[in-house]
Amino acid sequence: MRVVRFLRSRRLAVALLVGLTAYAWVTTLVPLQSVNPALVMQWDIEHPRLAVLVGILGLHRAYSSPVFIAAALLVTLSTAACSWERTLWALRGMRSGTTVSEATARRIKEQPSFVVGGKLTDRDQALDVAAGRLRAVGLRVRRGPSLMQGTSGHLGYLGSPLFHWALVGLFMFAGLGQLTRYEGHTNILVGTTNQDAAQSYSQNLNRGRFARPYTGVMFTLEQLDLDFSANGVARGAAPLVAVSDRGSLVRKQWVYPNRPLRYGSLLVHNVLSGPAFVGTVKVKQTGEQQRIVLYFDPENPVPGTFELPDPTTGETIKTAIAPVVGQRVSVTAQAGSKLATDVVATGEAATLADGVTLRVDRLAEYSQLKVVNDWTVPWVYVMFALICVGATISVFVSPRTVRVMAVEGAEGSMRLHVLVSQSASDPAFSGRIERLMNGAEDLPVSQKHEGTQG
Amino acid sequence: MSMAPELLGVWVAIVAYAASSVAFTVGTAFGKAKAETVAVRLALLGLVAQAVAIGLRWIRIGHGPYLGFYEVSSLLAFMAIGGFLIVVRRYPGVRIAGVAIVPVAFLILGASLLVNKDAQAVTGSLVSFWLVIHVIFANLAFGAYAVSFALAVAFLMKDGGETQRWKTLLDRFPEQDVLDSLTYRFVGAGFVFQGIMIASGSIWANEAWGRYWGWDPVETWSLLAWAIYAIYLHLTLTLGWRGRRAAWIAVLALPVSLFSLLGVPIAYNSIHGAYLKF
Repeated sequence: MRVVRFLRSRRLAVALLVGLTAYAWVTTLVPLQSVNPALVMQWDIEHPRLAVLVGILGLHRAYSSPVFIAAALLVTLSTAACSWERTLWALRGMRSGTTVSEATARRIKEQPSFVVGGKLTDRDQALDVAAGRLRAVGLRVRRGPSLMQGTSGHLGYLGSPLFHWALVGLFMFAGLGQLTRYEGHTNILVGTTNQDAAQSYSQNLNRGRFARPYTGVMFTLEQLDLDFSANGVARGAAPLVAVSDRGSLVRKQWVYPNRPLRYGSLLVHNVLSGPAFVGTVKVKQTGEQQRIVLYFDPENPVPGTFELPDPTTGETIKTAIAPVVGQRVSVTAQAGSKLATDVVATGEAATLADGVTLRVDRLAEYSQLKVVNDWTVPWVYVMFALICVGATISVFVSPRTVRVMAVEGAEGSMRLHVLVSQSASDPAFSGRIERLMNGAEDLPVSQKHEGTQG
Repeated sequence: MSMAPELLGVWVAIVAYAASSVAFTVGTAFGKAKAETVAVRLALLGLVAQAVAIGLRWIRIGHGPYLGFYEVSSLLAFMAIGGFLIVVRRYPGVRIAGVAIVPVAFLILGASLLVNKDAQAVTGSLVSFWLVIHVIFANLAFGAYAVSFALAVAFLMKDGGETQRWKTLLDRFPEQDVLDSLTYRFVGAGFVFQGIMIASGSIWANEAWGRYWGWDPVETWSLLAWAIYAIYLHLTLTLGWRGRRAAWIAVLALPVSLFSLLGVPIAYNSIHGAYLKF
């Protein structure tokens, strides 16, 4: 019970909010590994002393550190506890719009927010005047023999619980997503197929601790348009990707920014497209053959490299290949002190060392596809929507209740005891109602009772 | 179409906002109601001139004002003044709050003229329905926050001015509970708008890059600004912070919001930087 009280404490909620805000601010002072690994390396080189401290604090991985995960968990629990409390409060508030308990009736009589009246002697007439005033400010009025209740904005009670439960849902689904998702980059040559399987993701594979198994669907890169345009807008390079599941074609579309391919919980984006080299190394002495596939990044034109042992000397042959104009590649091979460069086309071979040749089988194009499998994304979107709806209701719809009881005064005149309930979002409401009631010519005289607004 | 007519509009707006700032300052310092009236009219003139400039540019380059520092900052200034004038129309008594908001808009618009004003190409990742939602709500949020800032400044002026020599002037302000309540409402509206902005930005990021949240500096700072306003709302609604303390939070939160919109893409190496080029 003490734990629940601690978790639902409003001060804890504010402290966590302030703490996480401060933490987020600190993380903006250093680059993050998940955002830009190259920048992290550069920053560490430029700030060698700070890098030690940042390394100890784990700030480069701030949002996967145990400190952050523990804080996020605490925020989720605290928000859930607050949501439960707010739900009970909302239910009480909504019920209060339709019924008046004995305790409330006693409170109206003994501790009203203020009292007006004194001129009219007829109970019904006094209540009629007050009812007219309340209706004029948009309150829905229900009349009883001596008690009247005006309400508005009861939907507003739902705003805060909806917002907070949706926030809990968002935290939960985002956390589940991190645990169960996987994403990876796979290079596919035009006309070839890769499977959604571990061996396809040689680059940037990122699997959650409880990631779902690979689906095994096949991605075929049917075509690549390096200058794709849709609806009159240039979209850059776009691959035509076909997805087959258990031998059946299930999806086929051009993939470009803002138009990823979706299949089930899979989301496929095109990261980059460019030229690729496919060749075969042949070693004459042993008869061995080795297939070489190199992918080039058009944004970062550096040669593709590979190494293999020289069967004659035992030294390492370092080979660099770069595309050149006219569907050819330049092949530079260094074996010991020997350096040789050759420019070859498809079907031709370059000599790397004595008895070692590299034949160009194909100069093709490829796309690097980013495949993400995260079933939680639609749920995160739903939570976003509910958060926005909840916040909107909470901010713009204020639940208000005004209860008026006609009480006979000493000289037979009717005095109206008024109890105003308002949300914290509209503290001026009570004052407005008091001014409104006092504005009634038939209902002058006001006696303020302090500390009774609830 | 030449760029000259739209630049003329921007210059008219800058001069009008500058003159309005001066008039508001005179009105506040010397209690001249007429100066305030002139200041509001000058702000309106600037707003109209800026609307024409934005419209001309839109027609000339074929897309809305959301690409590059010049367009983004210019629209933010427009929203701040627009929001303020809407409030003044509804609550004429708060017009003195212009002494806080118009100079801010003037500085933002002035800064926008210091950078490259050439149109930037709409690349593939920018062609998205979510971008429209994202930009609209980013501007609405800033407009609402800017108004809450001005109202909070007015509240603090009134709060601290009871014993000062311009008490007569401050008496013309709306009651403090009205200023307080309006500040809360505009912070609340900004909070909702910014929530929609963040949500739509997340959906757009997932469509464009395959992740809805990546802790990129722009995303983190946007969340920071939202969290600060969440703290304001939490303190106000649950711990009963009203008045002076709440007003100070509303005042101090605006620079964070402004930095998250304009400063971060400049100060950080961000994937969003391409949309806020100088």
